[in-house]
Amino acid sequence: MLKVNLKKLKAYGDRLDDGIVQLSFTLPVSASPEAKEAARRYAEGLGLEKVSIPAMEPMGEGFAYFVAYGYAKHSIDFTKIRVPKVEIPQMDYSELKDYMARNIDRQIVVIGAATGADAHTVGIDAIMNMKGFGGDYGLERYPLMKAINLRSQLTNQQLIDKAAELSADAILISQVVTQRESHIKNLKEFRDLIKKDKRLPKELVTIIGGPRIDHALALKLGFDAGFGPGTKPSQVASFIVHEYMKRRGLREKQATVETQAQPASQRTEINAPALHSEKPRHEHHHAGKHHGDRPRGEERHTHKPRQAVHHAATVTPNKPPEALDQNTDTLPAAVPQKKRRRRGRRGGRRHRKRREKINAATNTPESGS
Amino acid sequence: MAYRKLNLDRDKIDQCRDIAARIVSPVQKYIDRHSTTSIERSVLRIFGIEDAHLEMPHANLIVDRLDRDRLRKGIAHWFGRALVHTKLDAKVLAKKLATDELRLEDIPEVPEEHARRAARELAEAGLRRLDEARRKRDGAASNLGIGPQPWKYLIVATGNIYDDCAQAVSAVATGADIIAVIRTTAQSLLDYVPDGITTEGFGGTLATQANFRVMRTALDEAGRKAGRHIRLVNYSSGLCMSEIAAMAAFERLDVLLNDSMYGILFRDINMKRTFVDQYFSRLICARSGIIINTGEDNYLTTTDAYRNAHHVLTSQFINEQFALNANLPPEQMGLGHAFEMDPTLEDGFLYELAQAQMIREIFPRAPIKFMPPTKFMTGDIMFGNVLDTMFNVCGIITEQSIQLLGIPTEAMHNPHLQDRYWALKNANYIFQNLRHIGDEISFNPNGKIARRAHTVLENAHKYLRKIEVMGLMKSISKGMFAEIERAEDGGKGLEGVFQKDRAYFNPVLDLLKERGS
Repeated sequence: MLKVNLKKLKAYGDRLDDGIVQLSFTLPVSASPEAKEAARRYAEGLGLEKVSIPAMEPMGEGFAYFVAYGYAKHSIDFTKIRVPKVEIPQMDYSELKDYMARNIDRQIVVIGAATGADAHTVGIDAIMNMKGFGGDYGLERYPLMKAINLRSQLTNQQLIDKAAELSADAILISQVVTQRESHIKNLKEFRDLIKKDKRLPKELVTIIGGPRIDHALALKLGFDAGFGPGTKPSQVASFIVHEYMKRRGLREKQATVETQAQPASQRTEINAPALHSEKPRHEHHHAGKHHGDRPRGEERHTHKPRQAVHHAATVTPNKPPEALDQNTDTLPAAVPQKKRRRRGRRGGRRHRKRREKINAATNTPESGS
Repeated sequence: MAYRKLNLDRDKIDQCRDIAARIVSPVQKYIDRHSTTSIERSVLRIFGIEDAHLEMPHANLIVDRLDRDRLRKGIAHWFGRALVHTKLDAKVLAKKLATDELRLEDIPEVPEEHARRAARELAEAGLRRLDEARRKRDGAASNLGIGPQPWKYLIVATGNIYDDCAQAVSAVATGADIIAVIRTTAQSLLDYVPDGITTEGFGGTLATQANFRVMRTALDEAGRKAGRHIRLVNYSSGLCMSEIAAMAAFERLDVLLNDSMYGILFRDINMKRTFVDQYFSRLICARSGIIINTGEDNYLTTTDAYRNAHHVLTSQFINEQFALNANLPPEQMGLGHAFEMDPTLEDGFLYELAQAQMIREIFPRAPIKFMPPTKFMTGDIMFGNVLDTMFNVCGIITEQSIQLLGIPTEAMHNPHLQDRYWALKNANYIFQNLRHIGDEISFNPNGKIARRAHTVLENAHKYLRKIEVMGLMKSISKGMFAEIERAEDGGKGLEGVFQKDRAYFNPVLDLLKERGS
């Protein structure tokens, strides 16, 4: 085994501590020997030594593209690093379903949308739509969640009005394509509006997500959680359920013998007294500012969120369903065949019904806006 | 072209077309009885009314100032009357109307024939300008020549039209054949087209007539250097579908995104508004030789590409019928689809091949547009490049016409300059290296690929029949497309739809319709 010095962590290329870094960039000058030398010096200025430029490619007049390698001088003390994370026990779909059936007596209302100028709904769809993402069912599929995906082209005010109208317990905001920090501006506006709004309960959970979102940013902006790329719906669901219970001071009821969904380790985690002892923090939750004051120590020794599984790295091949008959129209993909058929049929019907209801509720008020 | 490799059931394909025609027919009847504020504004734009007052186009101000009941006779009726009475030049008259110096309803009646003649003359002059623009573009294309298919289609989206130009010119130097300027995202919901050159936008650049001109000039120049005509794309969708078509036609754009249902499903625009608008916009495209690109690829971002592949084909049949009704020949129907299957799917590439080849064979004359993977792009740009490579291989094997190049940084940010460069280098290599691979390949008649294509066609046939029974508008309200439900009277823009008076007069429409029949 390599002996890694965590106090002086460096990039690994070919040998421990060589600090080799690869990068690529464009300079707005035409390709030339001078341009290449400029690229080399530019990379040196970034803190690299022994810089080599193995590729200089002309990209039309006035632009050249470079690939650079170099040895980074500096190192990082890994032992000092603390990153805020969503620190709650993770459960998968069936665990959560059982957990919610035991502990919650009504549907949790979750609404979500891509707001502002962003019209990209891939993120919110992956989390909310029945089918979910990467084999993990979306929030619409949870029997004890009323998940309403408002998709895109909503202003922050419209989303807040909707939350009040539907008595939402949680709001999800997705920001996918942004430019020049427009997502930050938009999220700040939402935070300011929601602070002023008296109609919403103090237990309301606010969550943001998107490729340029992380938990630290969410806390900084006054949201309760932030989820980055690769997040599975069950991660978001776990957080919502956990916060829902915590904010109402609900205690977990023990699993009965026949529901063995939860591994022992996670069960103890949920019962951990630490979670309930934090209650006073949430008295003033609504201001959304307390997170910044949260003591850092809290973040130790808890579960990390499940890692996103990279598609190409998955070992088990995803077999396609055999038939494409009409009945399977609403079935989700990427789960084993047998399970899908049985659940899908039931789920499909229920899904359609509920969607019709939701549609009736969501489509009327804003027509012609 | 060796377009019959899958041994598809030709009778079934014909039946699909017949069913699609029957699905579209009642909607077309609705279209013929109605007009919209956007269409009336387009009429004014074709009359040459292009100026704005305090950033609001004259066309909007004039149409909005006329009450709805009068508008049912058509803006041309009122404008023609005012022309005859005031004897003013159209632009001067428009300015007076837009600034409330004159009111259309106050203008005394003139003999109907005179009013109509005046409006018809303006319409004819407008269409002469359209035809002139078309000749100029077709001339450039035949003088310079165009690149071999698949045409490499790249996107710029900086928000600043001048940055867009610099990036577009760089892409052309590396091999791009088509440049699309992405619109700032909320523009589809604006009920007017902004005016002037713009340098600010989110996720894209405002579509304005001035911006069209700036980019057209830059691409003409870049095309002369590269020795091939570079096509320019923008978006004829949203609430100003037909106005953008008119502006684009005047500024010699080559391709417009234009779908009969996209706005309904993905922008929550009212379906009646969209159906009426798309017809007029397509008539303009037909007359101007503009290739339309339909948006079936979008379905696969909300539904599963493997399971719902037949939704794409179904929608293509419907889009085709709407297009035929608007005089568009197949050569201008860039029907869309996408490479969006889950990369972990066993034999997924075979199914992608089946789909792409099937669409190629069912629409042999159409400039089919193939869209790249987006849903399974993760930010791992190295793997993203591999996915894009497979997409390009699929495109060249199945002889797609327009290949929107995948960008490895999809889902991270709008493409940086070098992102576009990687994409082009990838496509250049694959298209060059596999140029005639399509001629060499035949498919096992009992193999997975052929069987898959048959299944999808069969399912599309069934699905079309279901839609026929239900009716198109009801089908949309039941979530039959993209699993998105839209109510018949929901969404934006319905207030802009009105029923035509018996004396409705629209000389532009009359002239555009004439040509095809």
